[in-house]
Amino acid sequence: MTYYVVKRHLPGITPEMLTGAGLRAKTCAAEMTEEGAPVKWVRSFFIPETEETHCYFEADTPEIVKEVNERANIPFLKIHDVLELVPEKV
Amino acid sequence: MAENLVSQAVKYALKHAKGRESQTVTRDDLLFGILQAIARFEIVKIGPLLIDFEEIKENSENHVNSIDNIKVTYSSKTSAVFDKAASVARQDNSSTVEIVHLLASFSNEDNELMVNLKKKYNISSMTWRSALLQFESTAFEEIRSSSRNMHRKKYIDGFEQKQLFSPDEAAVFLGLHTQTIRGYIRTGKLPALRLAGERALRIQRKDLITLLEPYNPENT
Repeated sequence: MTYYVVKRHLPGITPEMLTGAGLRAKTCAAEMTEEGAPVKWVRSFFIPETEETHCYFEADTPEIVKEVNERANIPFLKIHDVLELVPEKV
Repeated sequence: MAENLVSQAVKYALKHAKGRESQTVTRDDLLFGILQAIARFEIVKIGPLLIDFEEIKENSENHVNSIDNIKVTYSSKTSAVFDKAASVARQDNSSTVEIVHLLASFSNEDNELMVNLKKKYNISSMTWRSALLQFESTAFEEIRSSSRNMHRKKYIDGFEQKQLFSPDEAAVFLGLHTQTIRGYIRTGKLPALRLAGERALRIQRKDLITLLEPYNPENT
């Protein structure tokens, strides 16, 4: 599976709304995985200053990532491929 | 994702939406899923409230031949219920959204199933919420016991070196319910620390040990 980042701009979003969205993403990812389209919400980072959120997903295709976000009813701007770098491997 | 009551409830909710041959998960679907997840012998027990789930199922407009490959999406109002549940969980100082928080978020909702329940069982927003207070310590307890035991094992494995505990972990450590720990914190019986700028509470190991005293049968 490949990593993807989902970029969002969510003006006025509260921590509660982020949690609610996370719960929806998690449950929709579980549903889609059961349906045969494996997808995992890995983690998200919210940047309060710019009200941007970067959400990392693992899936086979960007279409699957798009679908899980649509099903979870979480608006997004763009989905990009991500190259993973971790300190242990550099 | 760990199979807990919330994920079970959501699974039932999605199935219910599909059973209606609908692409949208409504608040009724979600509430149906929650009630199904906590029902035993087709009865939902929330404190003193006893709800006949068999009747709810009968009244549900599900088709027998549901289409499994329907791709369902949360409606905006259902999404808002999740947000509200997250807010309730935060007020409850809980790090995760639990089934009780989802149920509490329905107290003022005007979806058909909730309105019907209120009418049939003479429930007000206040009676619903007060029933939920008891729900957590009775029926909820039994249903959750198996999943809690899994968590308990996971927690206990890392307890030996731990100096700071969350209320959930402290509850497992002392073999009490989380609400009891929160009650001790509220009344000052158990000192707690707050992470700077956060709502999350932490309890020191020494304070948990201090709560224990030798049992003397003569004093009982």
